[in-house]
Amino acid sequence: MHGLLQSTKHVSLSNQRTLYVCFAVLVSFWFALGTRSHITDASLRYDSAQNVKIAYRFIHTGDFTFGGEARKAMRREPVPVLVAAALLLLHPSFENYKKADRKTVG
Amino acid sequence: MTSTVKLANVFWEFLAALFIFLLCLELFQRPLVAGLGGLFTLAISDMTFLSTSQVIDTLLNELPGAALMLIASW
Repeated sequence: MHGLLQSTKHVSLSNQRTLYVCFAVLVSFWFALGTRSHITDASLRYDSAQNVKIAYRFIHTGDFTFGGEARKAMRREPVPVLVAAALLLLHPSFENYKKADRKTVG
Repeated sequence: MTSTVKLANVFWEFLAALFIFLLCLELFQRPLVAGLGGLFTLAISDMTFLSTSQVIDTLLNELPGAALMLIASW
């Protein structure tokens, strides 16, 4: 440990910080990809389902609601819903869901 | 579609982890010490919150809220 601290003295502080940020980005990326194994096909309920419905309807209709008459209880935090909507829009699988919509609408 | 939309949590996990490290860099003068502190904090956060199924396998707002609070703190 002492040797490691001594060796970093030869690198300027700004370079150390740059290396640190690169290290942080790599570790965070690796960590985030590792969490994918925890994601299952378990159904979404209650607030989770509402967030997905809002994201889905937002993409299809532009409405930030989960359907029906607008009520006070319908208010959800917008940023997580917008991120979910962006993912649905950008993910290549989403085209399959949009095609299924066209079939049911007729 | 369920597992696809849950992938949004990967983005929030990345942000949370990144800003844990960036906050540690603000707290500690030496980047090496900050890195060790960040790794320790990330490990504890992972075990207690970030990798629990109630957070990862749902689309509740706890994870985005935690990530945004870390960003705001930085």
